[in-house]
Amino acid sequence: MLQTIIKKNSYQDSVVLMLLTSKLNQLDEVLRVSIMMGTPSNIDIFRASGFDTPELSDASSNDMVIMLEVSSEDDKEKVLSIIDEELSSTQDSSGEVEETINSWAKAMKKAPDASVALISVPGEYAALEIEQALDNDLHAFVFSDNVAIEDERRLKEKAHDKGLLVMGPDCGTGVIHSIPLAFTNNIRKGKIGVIGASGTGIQEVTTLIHRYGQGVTNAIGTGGRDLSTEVGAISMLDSIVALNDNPDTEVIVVISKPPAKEVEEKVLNVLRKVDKPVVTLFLGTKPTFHEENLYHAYTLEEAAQLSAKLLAKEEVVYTPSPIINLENKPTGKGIKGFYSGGTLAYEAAFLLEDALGIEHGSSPEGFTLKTDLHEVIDLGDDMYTKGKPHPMIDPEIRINKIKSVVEDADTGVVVFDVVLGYGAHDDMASALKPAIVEAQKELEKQNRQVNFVSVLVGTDEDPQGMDEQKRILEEIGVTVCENNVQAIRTALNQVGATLDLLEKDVKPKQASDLEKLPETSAKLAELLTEDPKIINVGLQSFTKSIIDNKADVVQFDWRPTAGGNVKLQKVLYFLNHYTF
Amino acid sequence: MSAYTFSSDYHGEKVEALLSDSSKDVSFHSEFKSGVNVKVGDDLLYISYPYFQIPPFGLMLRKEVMDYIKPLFKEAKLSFHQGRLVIGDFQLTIENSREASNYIQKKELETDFFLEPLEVYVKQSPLIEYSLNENLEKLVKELIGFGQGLTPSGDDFIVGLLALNSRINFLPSSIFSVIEKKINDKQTTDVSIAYLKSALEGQYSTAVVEVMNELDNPVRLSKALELLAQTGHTSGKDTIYGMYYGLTLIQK
Repeated sequence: MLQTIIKKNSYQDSVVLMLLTSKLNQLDEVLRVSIMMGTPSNIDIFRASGFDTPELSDASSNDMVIMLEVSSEDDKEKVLSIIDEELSSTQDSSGEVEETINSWAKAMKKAPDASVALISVPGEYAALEIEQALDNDLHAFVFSDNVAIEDERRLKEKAHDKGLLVMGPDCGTGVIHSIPLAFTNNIRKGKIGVIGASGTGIQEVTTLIHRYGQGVTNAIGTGGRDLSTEVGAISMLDSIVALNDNPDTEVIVVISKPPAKEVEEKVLNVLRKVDKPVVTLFLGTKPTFHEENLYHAYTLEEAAQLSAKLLAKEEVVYTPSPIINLENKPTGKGIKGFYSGGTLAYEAAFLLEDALGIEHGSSPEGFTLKTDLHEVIDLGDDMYTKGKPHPMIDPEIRINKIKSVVEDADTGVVVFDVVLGYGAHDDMASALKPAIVEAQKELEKQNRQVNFVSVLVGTDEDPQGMDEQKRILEEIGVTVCENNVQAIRTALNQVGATLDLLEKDVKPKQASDLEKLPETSAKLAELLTEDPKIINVGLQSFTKSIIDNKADVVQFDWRPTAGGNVKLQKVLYFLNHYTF
Repeated sequence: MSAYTFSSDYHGEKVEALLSDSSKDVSFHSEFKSGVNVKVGDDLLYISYPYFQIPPFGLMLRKEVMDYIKPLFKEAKLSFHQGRLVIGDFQLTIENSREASNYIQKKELETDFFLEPLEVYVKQSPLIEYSLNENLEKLVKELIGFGQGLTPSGDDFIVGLLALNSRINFLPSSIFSVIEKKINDKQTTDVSIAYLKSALEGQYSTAVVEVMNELDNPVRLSKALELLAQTGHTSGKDTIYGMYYGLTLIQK
C-alpha cells in the first residue's frame, strides 16, 4: 500500500535525505521509497513512477514529500516513527517549547522571587535595562559595556539608595553564593570573599584559591570604572561592607587597578575598619609593607596565596611558584605577551617594566607594553575585537600573532594565556596548537629557538578539562605555568633578567576615621547568603553556568523596543514611569 | 567585551542591498549543517561559514562564529538595524567583510580542451540517466524543479547553462522568460529560486564564476572544477553538467 508523507516547509540537507532513503530501503517492511521536494516536476515523476496518491496534490515546492510503499497497514506506524526519529535527530532544537518572555512584566511574573538580573544586551541599550532591573528590586550583574559613565554613577547611586548592588558595567566575571555567572570558572565553595574591578583578575585569583584547596563565598565584580573619581567606588564600598557582615566569609580580597588618590583613601578607610583579614591588590603599585590584618599584595598570585594562608592560619608570607628551567635557550631576547585576559596582560606588563626597568605608561595605543624588544598586548581590547568575538571565544587574532613571531628575529619567548571556564572557547589549546606547531617548524628552518610559555587559568571542575588542555599544550613543547607570575618570571629567566619580589614587614594598621561601618542592606545580605534567582536579559549562553550549578534562571528574550531607537526608548520609559 | 557584533569575512554582491532594506520582513527560513537561510521579503540570505563558494546572497562567517550564533536563528527575533542583521542579541555586519565577485567575464572561448575535464564530473550527475530534450525551451521547462535535493538537480543544471551563457551568449532569449515564469509560479524550491533569480541577473556563486573564468586555463580549470564539484550533494556536478551540455551545443 502507498503512503504519502508531506512535511510542510521542511528543508533537509540532501545528505540527510539520502541517508534516510537508504535506511528506509533496508527495512523489510518497506518495498519502495522516494523522497523529494514537492516541486511540480517531481510530482510528475512520483506519478509517472506509480506513486500516485490524492495527498500528493497538497504538496508544494517547499515541502518535503516522502513516498512509501509498505507491505501492510501494521508496518505503516513503525516506518513513520522511524522517519520522525531520523528527521528530529538532525534538528538542533532543544525540544521543549516554552512561552517567550519578552518583557519585564512577563519575566517578573514568571520569577516573582528573582533577585538578580544578568544583563548582557548591547551597551547602548544597557542603561535602560539596568534601570528596569532596579525598579523591579533586582540586583544587576551587567556584562554589557559601553555604558556612559554618567549613567553608571546615577544607576549605582539609585541602587545604593534602594539597598541594591550594580555589578559592572563591563563585569565579565562573578560568583554569587557559589553560582558562577558570565565568563567564570567553577570554583569550590569556601570562605574567601573576592571583590574585583577586573574580570580576569578575579578569574586568576579565584582559580588559584581553588587550586590551593580553598574556595570562595562570593566573587563580586564591580566593573573597571567603579573606582574612578566619577563613580567613587560605590559598588566596591557596599560590597566590602556586605562581605564583612557575611557570616560565611572569613577573608576578603580586594582587586583593582590603582584608583585615584582620593578614591583609594576612601576604600582604605573602609578596609581599615573591617574586622576580617583583608588582602588588597592595587595592580601595578608595589607595596613595601603590610598592615596588621590588612595585607598589601603585589601580584594576583600573591593576593590568592595570602588569602589562602590567612584562612589556613599559616604564616602570611608570599612564596612565588618557582621559575621553570627550560633546556633550550632562545635565540632572541624579546618577550612577547599575547593575552586574551586584560588584567593578565596588565600584570605581565608591570612585572616586565619592574624587572627590566622600563618606564611605565609610555606604550603606544593597542599595546599594554611596547619597547624595541618586548611587547604585551591585550587582544581583548576593543581595538582588536571590533567586529570579532572576544579572543577567549575566538582564537583567530592570537593565531595570527603567534604566526607573526616567525617574521621577528628578536623574539625569544612567547607568553600567552588559556582561560577556561563558562563562556570561553571549549578547546583553546587545540585551536592554537596548529599555529604553534607551524611556527616551530618555520623557526627550526631558520635555526631559531623561541620558547612558548602559557598560563592556564582554570580549575579541575571547569567544563573544558584542565588536565587535557595542559596535556595538549605540553605535547607540542609549550611550558604550561601555574600562574601568570610564574610565566613571566620563567620568561624573564630565559632572557637573563630577574624580578625582585619584596619581603614585607607588617606594620600596625593605620587608623580609619570612620566611627563605624555603614550597615548592609537586607537585600545585599540576602544576595550573598542565598542562591541567586536570576533573570537573564540577553545572551542565552549565560544560562548554562547557572543551570549546571542548579540555580534558577529565567531567560528574558530581550530585543530592542521602539525599533532599536534609544532616544525613543527613553521617552517610552519616561512615559511608563511618569506619575500624573 | 564586544561579544555582540560579528562581521562576516566575505559576502556576495547582493548582500549589501539585502541588508540595507529594512522595510522587508526577515524571518528564519531553513537550517543546514553548515549554515542557515534567512528569508528577506521574497529573497533569501544564506549565512554559512566560508566553505569554498560564496553565493551572491551569501554571508560567510568563520566556523567558530557560525557555531556560536547558529542555534539562535530559529528562536531569536530577526530584524535589520542600520544595515546590520539583528539576531536576538547579536548583530551581523559586513563592515569588515570582503565582497566577493559574483560576475562572469564575457570572453570568447580560445580553446576547446575543457570538455574532457568537465566530463569526469558530468558522469557523476544523476541527470546523466535521463535523455535530455533537444528543444532547449522544452528542456528548461522539464528540468525546473526536477530531481533530488533542496536545489533539485534540474535547477542546478539550468544554472550551469545560464553561467555559460554569461561567458558567451548562446541561449535564445525566449529561455529567460520561460525560467522567469517558472520562478513566478513557484515551480521549484525557495533555495533554487534564489539561485535562479541571481543567475538571470548574471550573478553566480564564486565557485561557478571561477570555472567559467578559467575555462581556457587547464591547470586552474581543474582546481576550480574540483571545488565546484564538492558543492552540495550533487549540486556542483549537476551545474557542471549544465555547462558541459551548453558547450556541446555551441560546438555543434
